[in-house]
Amino acid sequence: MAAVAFGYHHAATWLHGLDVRVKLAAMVLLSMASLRAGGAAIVLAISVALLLLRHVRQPVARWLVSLRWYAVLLAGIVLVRALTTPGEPLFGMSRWPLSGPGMEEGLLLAGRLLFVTLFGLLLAATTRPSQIRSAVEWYLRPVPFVPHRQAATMIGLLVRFIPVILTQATEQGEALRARAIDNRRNPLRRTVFLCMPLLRRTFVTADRLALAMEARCYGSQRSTGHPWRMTVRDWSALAGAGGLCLTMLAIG
Amino acid sequence: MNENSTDLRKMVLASLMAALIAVGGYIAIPVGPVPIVLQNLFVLVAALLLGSRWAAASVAVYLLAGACGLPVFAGGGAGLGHLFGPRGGYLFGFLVAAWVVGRISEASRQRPAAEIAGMVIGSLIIYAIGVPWLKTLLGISFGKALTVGMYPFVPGDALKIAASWLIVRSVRPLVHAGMRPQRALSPVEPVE
Repeated sequence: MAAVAFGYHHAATWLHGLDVRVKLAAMVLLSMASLRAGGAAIVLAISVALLLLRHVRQPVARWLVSLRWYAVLLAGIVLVRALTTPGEPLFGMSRWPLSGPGMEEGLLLAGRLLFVTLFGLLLAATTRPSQIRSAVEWYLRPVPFVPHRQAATMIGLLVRFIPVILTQATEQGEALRARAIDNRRNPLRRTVFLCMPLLRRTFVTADRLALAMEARCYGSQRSTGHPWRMTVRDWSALAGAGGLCLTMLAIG
Repeated sequence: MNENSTDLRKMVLASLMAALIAVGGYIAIPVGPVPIVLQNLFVLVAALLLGSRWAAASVAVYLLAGACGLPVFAGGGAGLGHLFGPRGGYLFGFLVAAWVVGRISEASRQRPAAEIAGMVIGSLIIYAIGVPWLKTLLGISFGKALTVGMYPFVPGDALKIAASWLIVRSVRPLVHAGMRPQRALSPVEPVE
């Protein structure tokens, strides 16, 4: 997945202004509903996700292109299911019999994963990392034995680091191509040539960040104080997500 | 550098490694019929660089971010469906492997042979959890689960272990330099 799909994209839409706790709760509800959803429900959910992507003014076609590696993974799942599930073979092939029921099951499984992924990308595109951090902290606070502040900060840092690393990896790849290193046959050399400078650069970035946090007296006793306030719009969105989950379960 | 700042630095590095594990799922190096995805390479690197506790924390944060719906799993996947889907066993295997490889590295005081053996054990742990999970969720025989979920990736894993060790050898001084206590600055001479 390219950097285009991951990360916050600013726009003035109602989804951007929604309480992050609602977005996370909706994500978990939809994930759980996806485990029991049937074909029609998956088509409905993917349509809703694509409509929301258009609503938040994201280039849907570019997003789908950037998910090509993910599509390969999903195709693999469909193929394994089709090859390993017993049933009536499709297209009359005897050497590699792709079974009809297997293909159906594989497509259903891939659809479930795809729709949750689309909603996940929507969440990442419409939510600032600091808001995600605060919401995760809010949810983890009642969980015993979990250092909620530390875990939430680490998730916030992870969300911030991913676009940085993707950009650095793209630059690294271009630099390697310019030096014709991607033409080398030895896969060990290719992996090391990509990863070693990437890790060194990202460690320097992390080092600077740690120094900046230390300089600002970051510690476990710091204040968070994100002002949480649920509005009618947030409650309506939560009810809408719940309604979508119930509809998905009902239509099967 | 006091204990608090070392912990802070380790926390930032653990977050960075979690981000690298996520990015490792997006980057594929096309080698032969099965491309090398760098996810488990970064799990092994995290274990050797950060030790058992922080490497496990790094993988746990990665799994938590994915469970929250952030698209961090391989290829940009997200959600509980992924975590408990066919590939979920490998994801939970990362958590156990990170802790075990980190523990072996700590116990052996970073001896190369022990670290390489640790990475082999870590890779086997990932498969030991991932393959039966795959078998159960896809409803296939154990032989088929091994055929689709392990054998094609073994050559890539051998390469990743070799690459991990080379990378760690190069990057470790950089990581440890930041953890080492700084030499105190010479006291300022009192002004007369």
